[in-house]
Amino acid sequence: MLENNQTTAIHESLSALMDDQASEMELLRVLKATEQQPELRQRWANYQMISASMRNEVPEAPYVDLSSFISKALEDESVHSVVVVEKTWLHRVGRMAIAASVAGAVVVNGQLSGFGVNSGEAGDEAVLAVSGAPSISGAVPSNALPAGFRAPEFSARTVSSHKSMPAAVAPTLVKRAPSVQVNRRPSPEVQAYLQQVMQLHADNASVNTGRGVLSYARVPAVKVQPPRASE
Amino acid sequence: MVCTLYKIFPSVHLLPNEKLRKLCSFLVLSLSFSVPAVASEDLGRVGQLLGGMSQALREQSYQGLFTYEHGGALETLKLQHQVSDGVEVSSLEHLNGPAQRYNPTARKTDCLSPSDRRLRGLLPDVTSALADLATHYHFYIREDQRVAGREATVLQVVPRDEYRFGHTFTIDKETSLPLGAMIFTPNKTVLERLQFVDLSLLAEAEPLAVAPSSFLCQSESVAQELWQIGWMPSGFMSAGVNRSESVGDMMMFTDGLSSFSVFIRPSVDGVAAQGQAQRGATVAFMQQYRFGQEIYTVSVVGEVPVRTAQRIASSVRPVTQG
Repeated sequence: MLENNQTTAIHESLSALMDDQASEMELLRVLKATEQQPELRQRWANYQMISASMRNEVPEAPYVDLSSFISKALEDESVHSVVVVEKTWLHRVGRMAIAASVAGAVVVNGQLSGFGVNSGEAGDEAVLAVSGAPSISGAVPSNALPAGFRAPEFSARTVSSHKSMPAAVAPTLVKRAPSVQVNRRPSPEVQAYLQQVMQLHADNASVNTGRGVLSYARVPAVKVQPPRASE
Repeated sequence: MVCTLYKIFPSVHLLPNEKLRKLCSFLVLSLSFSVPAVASEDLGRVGQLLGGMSQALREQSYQGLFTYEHGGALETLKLQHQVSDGVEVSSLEHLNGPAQRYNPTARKTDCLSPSDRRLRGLLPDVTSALADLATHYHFYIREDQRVAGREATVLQVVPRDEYRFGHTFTIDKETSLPLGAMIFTPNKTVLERLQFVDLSLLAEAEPLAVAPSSFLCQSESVAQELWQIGWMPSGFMSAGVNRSESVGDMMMFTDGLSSFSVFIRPSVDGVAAQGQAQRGATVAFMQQYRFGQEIYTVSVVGEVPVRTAQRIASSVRPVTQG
């Protein structure tokens, strides 16, 4: 009976996750459960396939199970806040508030205490937010990006976690084989290749977006280095 | 962030969460003076602004300092653009971070890219200037701004679909040069902003420091098309193809205001990753696909939303031989 209840609860969490409504706790619970329950794992995969096909996005590539990488990435993720509130709109605001403007910061000032443990760059962003300056933010919430989002720290997420993971806990980068490990940034080879294609694309953008040479500002001013040991 | 954007786009109500939206409206009302949006579908004026900007950028001699903001980072750059005898040469230097200088090859100013032709209303198959762009974007002329000590017209370009990004150009009234350029997502999240802090025209172009190369006008190469892109947002057209040893086949596309490039090469150990990267408005999406016996790395890089890049990548097919 108890087991049944647990299963039901985990299924509820899973479907909440699919609807982008799950809390961080629920996500962690689901990930943990998938480690022991291949059935749950398969169910999750099926849900993903169904929702992908509903969006007309069934991947061409062979299906790769990334859930174990993701939970590993989550363990590495620093904790930004442990505020557990009801699933109200306030909760949602809380998640988005990292780069929110003045009043946004007031609403969720509980989150601000979390900035102390972040690196300097993330702190800068917090200051920006508190002063109410127009904040320029990435497409994903800033806490899902590498600190500072600076070149050449490309932030990459897996395809299968796209859109279905709550953004606030999206892993920074999940890298697939050859070396099966979680990496906060792509391997030097991938970075070098990305740098190259971005450079070549800048050539395209410079003549084809009405911005001229200004487009080259986007090419990172950094020679691609192997990942720093500190990360 | 969301609320900040609200201040920038007071006329647009696209936030999914109604309560959040109300909260934001309340905050915006109480914190900022909202600027009424001057809706303008006056395509004639828009055409003049965009065409003038495209022309000014390439045909005038100027130098200036500008900032590039993306994801909380701020970079400063120095730009110089000289035109002499119908040949333009520009250089770009990063003033902070690692020293890097960009020196492009010289180009003839009358060598027009597909985007130039579209912005200047010169595409042969388009009846009226900008009619084509206007099927994919709304245009709004906002209240004038002062940037880098100059009076500027603000043109906001909002995408009509979710497959492309929006743009805001702050265009100098005197020179038609863009003093600022901003890119935002279809949900009005700002991704990057370029803005001049100082801009001056170079009166008499000095002799070019760079000897013009033979590469004055890159003709659109007619290399055999080996790949076909099954899907891309409407309005994008080919801007050439290229092939190189290191990155493989490259295909370029533009809709006039945004561009993307598709790179395809046989998968190599070490670069066989899948994922996405983003820097400012530039998205890179990389995925491995099997075509026949071989696995290929397909990368799409461009100023388009990730989902667009992903969809483009998954629609790549080899052109069947024979």
